[in-house]
Amino acid sequence: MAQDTVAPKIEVLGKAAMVEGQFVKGNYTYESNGTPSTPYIREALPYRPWINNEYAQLGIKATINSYFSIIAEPQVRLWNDTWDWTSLGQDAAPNNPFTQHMTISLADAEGVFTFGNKDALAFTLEAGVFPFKYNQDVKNLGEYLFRTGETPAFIQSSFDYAYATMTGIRLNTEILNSLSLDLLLTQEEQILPINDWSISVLAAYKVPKLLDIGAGIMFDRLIAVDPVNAEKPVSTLSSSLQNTYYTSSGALDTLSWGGTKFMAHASFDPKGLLSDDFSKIFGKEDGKIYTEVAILGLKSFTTYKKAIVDVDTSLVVDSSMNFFSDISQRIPIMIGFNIPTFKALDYLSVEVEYFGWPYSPSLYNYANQLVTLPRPIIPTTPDNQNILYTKGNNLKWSINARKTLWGGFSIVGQIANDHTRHDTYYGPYADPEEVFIDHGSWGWWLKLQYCL
Amino acid sequence: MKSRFLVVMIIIGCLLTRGALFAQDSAVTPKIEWTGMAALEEGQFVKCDYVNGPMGFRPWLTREYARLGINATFNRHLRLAIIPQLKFWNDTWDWTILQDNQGYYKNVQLNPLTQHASVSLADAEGIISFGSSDAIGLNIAAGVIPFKYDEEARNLGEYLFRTGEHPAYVFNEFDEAYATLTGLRVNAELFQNLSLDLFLTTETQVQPMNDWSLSFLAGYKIPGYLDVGAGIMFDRLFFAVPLLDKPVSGKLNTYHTSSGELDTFSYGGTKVMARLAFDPKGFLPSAIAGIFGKEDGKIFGEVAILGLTNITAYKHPQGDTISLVIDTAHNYYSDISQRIPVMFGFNIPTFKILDYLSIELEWYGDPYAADLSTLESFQWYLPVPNGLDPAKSFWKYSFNLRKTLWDHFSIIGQIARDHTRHDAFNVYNSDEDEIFKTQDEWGWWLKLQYNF
Repeated sequence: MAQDTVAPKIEVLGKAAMVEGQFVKGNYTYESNGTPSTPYIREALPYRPWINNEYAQLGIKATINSYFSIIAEPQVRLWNDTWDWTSLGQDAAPNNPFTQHMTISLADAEGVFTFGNKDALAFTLEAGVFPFKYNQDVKNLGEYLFRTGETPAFIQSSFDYAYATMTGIRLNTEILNSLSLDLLLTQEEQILPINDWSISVLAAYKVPKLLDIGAGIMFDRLIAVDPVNAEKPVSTLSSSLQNTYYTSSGALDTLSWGGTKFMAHASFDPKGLLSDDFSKIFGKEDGKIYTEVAILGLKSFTTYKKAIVDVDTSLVVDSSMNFFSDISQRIPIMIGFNIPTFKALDYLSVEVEYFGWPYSPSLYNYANQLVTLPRPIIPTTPDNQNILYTKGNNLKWSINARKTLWGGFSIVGQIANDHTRHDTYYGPYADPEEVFIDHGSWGWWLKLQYCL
Repeated sequence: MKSRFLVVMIIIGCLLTRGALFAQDSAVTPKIEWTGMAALEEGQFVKCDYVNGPMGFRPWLTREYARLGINATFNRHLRLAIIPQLKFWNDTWDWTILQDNQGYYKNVQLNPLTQHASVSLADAEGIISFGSSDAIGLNIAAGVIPFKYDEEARNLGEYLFRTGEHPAYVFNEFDEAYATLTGLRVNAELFQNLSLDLFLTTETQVQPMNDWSLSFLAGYKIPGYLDVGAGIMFDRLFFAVPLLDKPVSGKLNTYHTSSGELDTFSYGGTKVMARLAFDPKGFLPSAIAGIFGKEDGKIFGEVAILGLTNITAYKHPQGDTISLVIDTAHNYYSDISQRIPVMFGFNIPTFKILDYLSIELEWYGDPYAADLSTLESFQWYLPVPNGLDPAKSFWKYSFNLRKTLWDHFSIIGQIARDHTRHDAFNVYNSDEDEIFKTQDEWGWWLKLQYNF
């Protein structure tokens, strides 16, 4: 390495984008009087929130030598709340529900070491904050390994963001330009409790222009930063916020975060079987069929309770919190197809997902110290009927399109019923559930984007 | 909503058509040009108001700005500008009047005396260009767009995008006599003389957010002599959330029409603007004209109508549900002459000592309070003024000067009684009225700026 003579090079990276859209039909769930101990109420949105986001990214990629480069690319995002302020009355007023908010983040901030040759054997080590996408065909649904949780079993979606921004270290090996192996040690920065460490291993094999298959496993939150207070939080509040249960042997245990996730994906391009003359009338993405399946938590367990409370009697299944006993309820399956547009568009894709999780698609549930609980909420209807099982939320769909002009300007569109969640500036008013819960719910998004 | 869809589809169709026609062009090598600005601003409100009373002290103003961005030229047709801005600032509200009856200052936890930081986008747009401005040039820009149509206005004026109709407010900000618009702009330049602009913009500054407006401007200039222009803005033509645009608040926002129907004031309306700038130096021999600075001697003016439609508010006399009388308490918008600001300006010749030394005068006959504090339950203002303000002067003035040294360093000064408003970090402490209301109130500002 000491003999390397490649001159350092600075490359400017940048992006500016404007996103407009609307939740045409959706839901909003809120705590009924703003305290953590009261039930959540789920209602249909009485109006159609407008979505408005502006993004600007400006950064550099500095190539120090042929082995080492640095990328630094911060992002500014201007956005508005989309939650239902009409449900909260004057309490919501001080929290500026109608002003534009600004968030700064790191789209990319990493050092990258590369060795070898991808056509034979190559290694890449990157450390920092880096975007990672293992399924190149997914436009919205899918990419389950790093956009999901196990307890509760949730999935995240965000428009034109079908990848994950990881913090940690990634070691990648590329063999003969066909086989790719990834080992990741990552730290949780998005979902409470934060800073837990996870280890993931992924493998992928591709036959260029024909087939791309892969699988991965994630030992999520393998190393808990706060094992006592955060990983196994104890809630002594109402039954809807219970986090302790009896095991089959009668021991008292607590639901905890983390678990093991598994993923497999495959993509088939039928154009690879056509002659070159015939296949070139199609666009690069046309006709591809792709799919992904995951298991969000390999381990199932049943929760029990005493038949008679506070009496040493036999145990019965506690159906009010028996969320993790059936593995089939934690298996999302996605299938997608790129409708041929004959180069008129970059892609026009349709994705459909089935996810049999029957409970609330909630991401958090506060305990008495505003620590989140690793279980779904049980919302109520406005007339106080518990919604233990959430119907109508098993099937998701997404139609996505993109057109790139002159290499730098793109128009990206989406119509979907996916796992989008409300944007809320003030935490206590955040909706723990998804926006689109019913079959008839959907939204649309449109992005104008310029990239360097 | 259908109208919004139609507008969006038309824009996409135009862009895709152009893309198909010009997809092959890539003759010019992409070029990156860095741009930046750093500025220090100091000033003082020498005599001013706070919440309808004179302030007991003279708030000092201090702001620091930093911008760093790029202008990237992809090819002959596509350019990208990304320029984020960082601004440090302090509150200017009167925290001394918030003492309780024991002499303790209330709300100090809201940090009235600490410095705040705001990040925004000074510019974040892509610009697609066709043709040539010497003949016919077409530019399409989308994103966050700084826009100034009246090159002569230094402080007052630029009414079309810095005003509202209900209520009819005017905004000023030191050395920001322009508007930062979010949306789409289509500009045609014809033979370097005629300029036509069409805007589709979304509201991101003043509640209610995200409403869409359509504007059309035309400008004609005879270089060295005359510059005239006019424009019309259909403000909030499309409501993002109709529920927000006609807020119901007891009797504050409702009135009876001449036919006896109950109606609600709403935001938005139609504004028109006309401007003119005349440079008498164009009539002088070049030997004499050459002793003057480029801006010396210019005379300029602008007039606008903030809401073309008059609304007369009626009510039923007490005890009578049949007849109608004029409701003088709510009859805010019946006289169009009260919504016509007129600005006149003159650049005092300095014979190249200064870039400009201008004096601007404005007459604006709005007798109502200029505040936006008719607060509804969500702390946003209603589309009605907060009563009459008999102490308010209809006259505003502004003295402005600028000196640029070595092409990159500028000193900018202002003495004015204008439409400035207080800065407050927390909405509870904001005074939504203007600072300078009576004839003896004024302030001064000084800015040292470096840009490249």
